[in-house]
Amino acid sequence: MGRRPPTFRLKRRYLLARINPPWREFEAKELYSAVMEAATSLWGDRITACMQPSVVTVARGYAILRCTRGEDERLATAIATVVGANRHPVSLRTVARSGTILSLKRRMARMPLKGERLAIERGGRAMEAVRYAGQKIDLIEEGIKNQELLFFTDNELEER
Amino acid sequence: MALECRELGYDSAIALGGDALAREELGAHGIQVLKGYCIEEKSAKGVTAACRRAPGDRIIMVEAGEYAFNRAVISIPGIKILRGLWRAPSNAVDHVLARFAAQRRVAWDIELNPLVRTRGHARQRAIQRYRDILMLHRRLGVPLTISTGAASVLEQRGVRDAMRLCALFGMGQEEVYRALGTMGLLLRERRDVEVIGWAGDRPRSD
Repeated sequence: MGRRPPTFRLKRRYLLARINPPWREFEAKELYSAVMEAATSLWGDRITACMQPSVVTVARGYAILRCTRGEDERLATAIATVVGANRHPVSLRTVARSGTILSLKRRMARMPLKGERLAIERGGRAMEAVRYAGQKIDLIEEGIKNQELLFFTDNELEER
Repeated sequence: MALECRELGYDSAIALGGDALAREELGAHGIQVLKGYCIEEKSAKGVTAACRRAPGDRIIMVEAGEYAFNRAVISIPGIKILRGLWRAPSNAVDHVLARFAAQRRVAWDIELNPLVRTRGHARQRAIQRYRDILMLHRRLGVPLTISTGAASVLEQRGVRDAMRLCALFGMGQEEVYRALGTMGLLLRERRDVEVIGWAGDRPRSD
C-alpha cells in the first residue's frame, strides 16, 4: 500500500536495545534477520505479521527496533530469545521503549559509550582489551574461538 | 559475569565452580555471590555420598531424574534445589512429590535457558513442563527458583526479561519476584535441630 495520510497510518512503538557484546559491529539487516527468526519461532507467523518488527537503526552498541503499538511487550520477549546474528553469538537487552525515535535517540546519547579499546600483552600473548563502565573488561585474543576464564586481582595488578 | 548480573538488576547470584577469592572481592562491588554445588549423580546413593563430600558453605542442587530418584533426593538433608526438571521425563514429578518438596522446603528450579536457546518442539516441551510445575506451586506451595543457567555474559538475562519469559507459561510478575527471592528465604529459614550423626557411641534409649 502506498503512503497513507497520518490518520490512516498504524501507530508504532520503538524499543531501545543494548547489543551484547558491544565490541562486535552488526548491520541492521543482520539484527533484523535474528529478530525475525526469534519472533517467528516464538510467536508464529500470524502474530509476527501483526507485530511488524523491524530494526530502524544500529549505532554506538545500541539498536532501535520498531513494532506496531500494543505488540511491544511481545517484541521485547522475542528479542530476549535472540542468541545469534550472522553466525555470531549476541544478546539484546531491552533498555527503554517509546512512541518516537527521537526520544530514544536522546536516551541513547545519554547512555554510556561503547568500550574503549586498548592493545595489551598478557603472558606473552597480544590481546585487545575493551573497557566498559562498571569495571568490566573484555579481553579478546586474535584467532581464539573459545572462552577462557581469567581473574584479575589487586595483587596481580601490582606485580605487573 | 557477576558485574553484569548487578547491572541486570540482581543483588545476589549463585555461582558454580570458579575462584573463591574473586567472589569475596565482588562483595565490595554491590553483588553478593553465593557458592553453589551441583550434583549430577544417577543414583540416590551417589547423591548422598556427593552431599557428604560437598563443602559446608555451598548451596547444594541436584539434577532431576526419574520419579523415584527425585523422591529419594528430596528426602536427603542439605539439598536445597532440584534443577533440570525440563529435561526430566514427563512423569518425573507429581502432586505427591510437590507436597513432599513443600514440606521439606526443597525448591524446584525454573531454568530460562531452554526458553531462550531452544526452538520448536524442545521449547514447547519446556513451556509445557513449566506450566505443570507452576500449577503444582500454586496449589501445593512447592518453592520455586528461577535461574538463567548462564555460562557466559551473553546467556544472562535481566529481571524484566525473566518476567517476560516466565509470562510465556503464565507466571505472573508477583510470582516471579517471589521466586527470585526464594533462595534468600530458604537460607534464612529457621529449621528444627536435625541430628545428622553421633560423635561417639549412640546413647542408650532406656
